[in-house]
Amino acid sequence: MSADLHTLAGAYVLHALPSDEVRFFEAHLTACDACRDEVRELRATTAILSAMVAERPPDHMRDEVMAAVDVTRQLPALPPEAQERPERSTLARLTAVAAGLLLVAVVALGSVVTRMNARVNDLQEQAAETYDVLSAPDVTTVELTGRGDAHGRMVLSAEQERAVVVTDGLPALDENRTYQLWLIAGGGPMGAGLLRPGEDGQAVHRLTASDLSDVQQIAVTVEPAGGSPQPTTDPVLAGEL
Amino acid sequence: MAEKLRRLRGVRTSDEVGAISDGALMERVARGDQEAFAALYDRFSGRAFGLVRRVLRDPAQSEEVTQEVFVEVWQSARRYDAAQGAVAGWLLTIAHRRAVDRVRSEQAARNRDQQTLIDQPERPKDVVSEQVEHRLEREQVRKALDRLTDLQREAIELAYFGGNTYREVSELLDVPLGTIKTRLRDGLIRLRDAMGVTA
Repeated sequence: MSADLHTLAGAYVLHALPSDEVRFFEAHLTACDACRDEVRELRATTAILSAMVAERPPDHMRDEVMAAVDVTRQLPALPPEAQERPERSTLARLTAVAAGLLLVAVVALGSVVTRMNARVNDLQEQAAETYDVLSAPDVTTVELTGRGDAHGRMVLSAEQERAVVVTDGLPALDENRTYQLWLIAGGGPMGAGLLRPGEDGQAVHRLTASDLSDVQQIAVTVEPAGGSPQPTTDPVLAGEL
Repeated sequence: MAEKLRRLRGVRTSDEVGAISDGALMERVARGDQEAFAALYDRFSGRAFGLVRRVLRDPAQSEEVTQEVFVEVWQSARRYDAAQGAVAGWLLTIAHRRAVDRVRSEQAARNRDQQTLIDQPERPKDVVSEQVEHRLEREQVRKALDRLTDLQREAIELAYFGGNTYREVSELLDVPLGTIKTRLRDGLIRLRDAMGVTA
């Protein structure tokens, strides 16, 4: 299953996306001006749609709301940098994307924060790369499903020739075996690197490949340590574009 | 305190407050102006309540959620950012999200879905308000809805008024997921263009 992130604006404003896709799309929104404009316009559109069902609420509700408001403190304004999204510097946006991804990793995949902290330097270097993928006009997400709790997601851009894979729930392997990622095109499976889940069962893997547009399927198999030239076992995770 | 409350509850929007724009009203609400908030309530409670009730159906729950919506609007008034869109879109997004959250937090979903399929009318007639101020807008929306394909209209209604996820919409209409995502977007874009929405 694949989805071009740019097409999600409609489902997003209608609150029709599952929560993990909401996080991916919101990370994408920090990087994509066109989608942000579209979200604003489509929200205004749904607001007009609500006139179709307008209904006068019972009078006592007004009194109750006014009474509640009278004893409710207003929240302070957000700090300026959180409000000025469109004018934010690229660096600030990169940080936001990195934060968005961390959130995706932490919340959607149940990661352990300490491990992510240790990798903050790493992430900062990779943020630029990830930003490019998330803001690419052709950005696509692929859901990976598998046995038991194992699941994952790949975000890829054929134009950028880059992809990011995040998996969770893959059981730990002994030292003689490893998880290997495969990109499957017309010519068969191509090895795309080894996944190394942490103690929390989560793996984040970045890759570059020149022919992502030909890829039809993505799979993860268990292979002998060091990986194999071709898969030798059935996939534990798989997804289709 | 009791005196003040009575005054606020009884407050009817003055002409002065009634005439100003949504944005200017919001600025006053952000400064803690309860009279301005009462005017904001009068302006949007029909649409917010109608929308929540359309999604939740249950009148008691709908009242509860709509009250939560307006308390949230009051609380977060200083966080409303006009650059991110008009007041109507912001406020009704809060209303829709809270209604949908309530639906999803309850496991009565299956029951409700069946109901949605059975009595999802082409256009909601039963709950349409007689409020005059929405009549023109409704006429405009109706004309715009007529420009959609059946699939676009059904998908949008099931998501917006039914509170369904796109996956549920896909199952209800027996149409692939990817198609539903696309129809939700191009349907809304067509509505936007038909209604001349600028934001």
